[in-house]
Amino acid sequence: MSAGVEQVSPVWAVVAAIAVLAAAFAGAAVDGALQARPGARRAGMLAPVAEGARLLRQRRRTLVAADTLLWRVGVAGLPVVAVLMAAVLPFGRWVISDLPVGLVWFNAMDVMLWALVWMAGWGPNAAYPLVGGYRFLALALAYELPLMFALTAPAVAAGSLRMADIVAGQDGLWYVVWMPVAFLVFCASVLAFSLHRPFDAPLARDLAGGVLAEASGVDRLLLLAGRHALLAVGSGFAVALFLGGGSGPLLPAWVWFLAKTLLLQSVLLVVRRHLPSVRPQALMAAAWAVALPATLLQVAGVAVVVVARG
Amino acid sequence: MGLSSLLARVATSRCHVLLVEVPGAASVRMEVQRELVRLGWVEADSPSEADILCVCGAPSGELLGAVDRVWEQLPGPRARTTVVTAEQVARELHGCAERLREPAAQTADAAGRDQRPAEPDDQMDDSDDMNHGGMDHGDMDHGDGNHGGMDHGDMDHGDGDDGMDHGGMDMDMPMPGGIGLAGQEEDRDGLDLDVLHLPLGPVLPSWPAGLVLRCTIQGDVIFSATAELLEGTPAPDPLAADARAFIVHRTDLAGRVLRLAGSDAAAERMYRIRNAALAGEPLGDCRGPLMAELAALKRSVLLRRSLRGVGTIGADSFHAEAGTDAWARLTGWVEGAVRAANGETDAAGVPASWPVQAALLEQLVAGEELSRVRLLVASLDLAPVGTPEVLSR
Amino acid sequence: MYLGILVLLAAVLVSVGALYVLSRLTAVARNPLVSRPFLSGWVPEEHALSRYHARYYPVTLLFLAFDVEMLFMYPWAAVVSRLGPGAVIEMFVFLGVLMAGVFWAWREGAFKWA
Repeated sequence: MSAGVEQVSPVWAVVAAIAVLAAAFAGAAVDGALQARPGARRAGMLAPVAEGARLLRQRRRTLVAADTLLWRVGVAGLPVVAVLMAAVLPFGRWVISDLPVGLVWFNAMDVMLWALVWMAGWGPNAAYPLVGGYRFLALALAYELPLMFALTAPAVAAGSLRMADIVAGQDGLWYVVWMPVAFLVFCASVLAFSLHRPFDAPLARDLAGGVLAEASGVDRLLLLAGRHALLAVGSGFAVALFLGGGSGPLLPAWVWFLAKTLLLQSVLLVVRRHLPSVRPQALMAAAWAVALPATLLQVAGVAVVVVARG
Repeated sequence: MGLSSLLARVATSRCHVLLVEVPGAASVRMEVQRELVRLGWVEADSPSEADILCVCGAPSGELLGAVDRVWEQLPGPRARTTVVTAEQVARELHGCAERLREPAAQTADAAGRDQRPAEPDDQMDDSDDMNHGGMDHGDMDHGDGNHGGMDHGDMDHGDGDDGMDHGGMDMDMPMPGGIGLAGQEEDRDGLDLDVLHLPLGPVLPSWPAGLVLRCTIQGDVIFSATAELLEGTPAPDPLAADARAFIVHRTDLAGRVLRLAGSDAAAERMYRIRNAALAGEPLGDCRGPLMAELAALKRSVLLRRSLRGVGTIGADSFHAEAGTDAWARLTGWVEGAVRAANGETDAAGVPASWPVQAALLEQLVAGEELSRVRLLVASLDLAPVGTPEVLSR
Repeated sequence: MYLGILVLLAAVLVSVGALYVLSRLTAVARNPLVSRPFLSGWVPEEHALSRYHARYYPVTLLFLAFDVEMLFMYPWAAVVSRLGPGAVIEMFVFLGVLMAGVFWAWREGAFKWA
């Protein structure tokens, strides 16, 4: 049952991009069903279709003296970063790019979001998006370090930064079993970097949509799609890092990987609906004084186990 | 053209509606919200998101001006309606969706808006004055301010980018769009920081009807604010309120706070109770769900943490809700609604007069960050209970 | 190895571009609407882009300390099993020192502002 991961031909990258898009779409459909009133859940699943049609038909907007370049880069950057993240994500047994530092690649892409979300907020030259952009930076200061240390736990256990090695290292025992803290912190961070509740303060209703407040038409579509794509890819990484990737009985690896990812993605979407939004300030002390030491202890525990095993 | 009409049909299956409530039209707004849930439509957070601008009640004066300016910000396809009675709601929303689907009319509407944003004349004088005000804070002299004003005038005649650039070259300091730059002022900690003017209301989601809070902000902290009610003060008539009106009002307020706090699921359940009471269902039936909501509220650690200490009214204040914070007021509303559903009547507290409320608001808001301000404003009951029209459908 | 990433980048950029082209065909108008910022129905008095008071700036400094530390953390993660207990002790003494700084900053109120 060895989960040998092999790098596939670059041509498959096109398929990978489509897969990310499809997963984002699935997430949006689940979200639509959850949002619909009871009794109209099935119709709610079509929400992303209606939303896509609506935003494609809607006119774009620009603002007086907007910083258009930064704005558009920020807007289009979200889906781009989500797809680039997926480059090192083993989809069952296949991966587009088997970088020896795959984990660092993921981290680098996720840090790009700092700039992109801020640019999407700064660009329009309007008060609400501006405040939203800066709110995201405050959130990022809180979630990024616990996220980075949560990432190192599987890397220490596998003795490698290569995603394929990390998946292979979970043969027999998934990392989630002995790294529950790192797993929970990672899942929370996925919600945070994909701008979902409880970490949606940058897009909150109290800012009239924050970073989204001035975007319409295809710009808004890209932001929303990017957000769902980030959640989908983030769930995929949680599966690869902690839930054994594509390992599982009988079915082919890619089916297992897909099933786990979609399940985790749906769970995160359900969780986010039942949590209130957290103000960045309220998160800051909790992240630095609780989540960060807890994650460090987790990494320490993993390191001790690894060294003891020799 | 089959494809584009198909697109239009799919697009209008889930319209986003920006609601504007005129003071005194709460029951119409609630009916619109009820209809939106029924249709599976969405309440918009901003004009950029909205397809439909739905004005609940007939606005006039400054409120009408604000609505008109927001209407100009809808990207289009767009439709606008004014709903005065609850019976019109379904028909009007349906009509809006119809208009959104008309490709020719929407294209023509879009083509008619290719100029720079036009400004109603009455506002122009206003903002000219304000420009001067802004300059006083800054390092710029009055001459610049005047140039800014002239540039402003240029723009109204629909000059494109070129006109603006010329304006910029004439001046020492370019002011794109005829809008001034931020002035500076000392903040609470004595730092010299840029100050922006941010008016909150009247057109803002989950915001009390007709309230305008003119804030000066530094970063996301409100430095100072003045409160004003457009369309005068609503007539307080607490004695006219029966138990049903009381429950509808309280659950509406609670739903608004929950919505702003981001508790979507809880807010939806609260609004469902409100809609049931509004539709004339037996009040006893509301009791069970209300109790469940109260229990769920008290279990929610995150929500309590986010509302505790927000908008605390000093215990020495003679305000009816002295000594409470947003969390206490929220749970108090739901508890009151439970009692009303039980048939007990609360002693109707005399609502504070508007000047008292305004002074309290201004005092509470100063020095708070924007998210807390939104929550604290939502956690104050500014419009006393009237009798909402109970719908017989 | 990086070719896959380049193809992926090209694919997503082409998709985003195609979406923009598509929207030009499907939207009610090709050119964007020039609007004023949403300010509850009022006209802006000044440009929103200004020196923003990011009140969390003390945290940024703290973050920087840890972020630089990540530079050591990743290579360390890859080799710790080979280097043995010494590496674990060294790293966590270092992290312990940094955490002491965090708790000090916490006590000083760096994580609170309002």
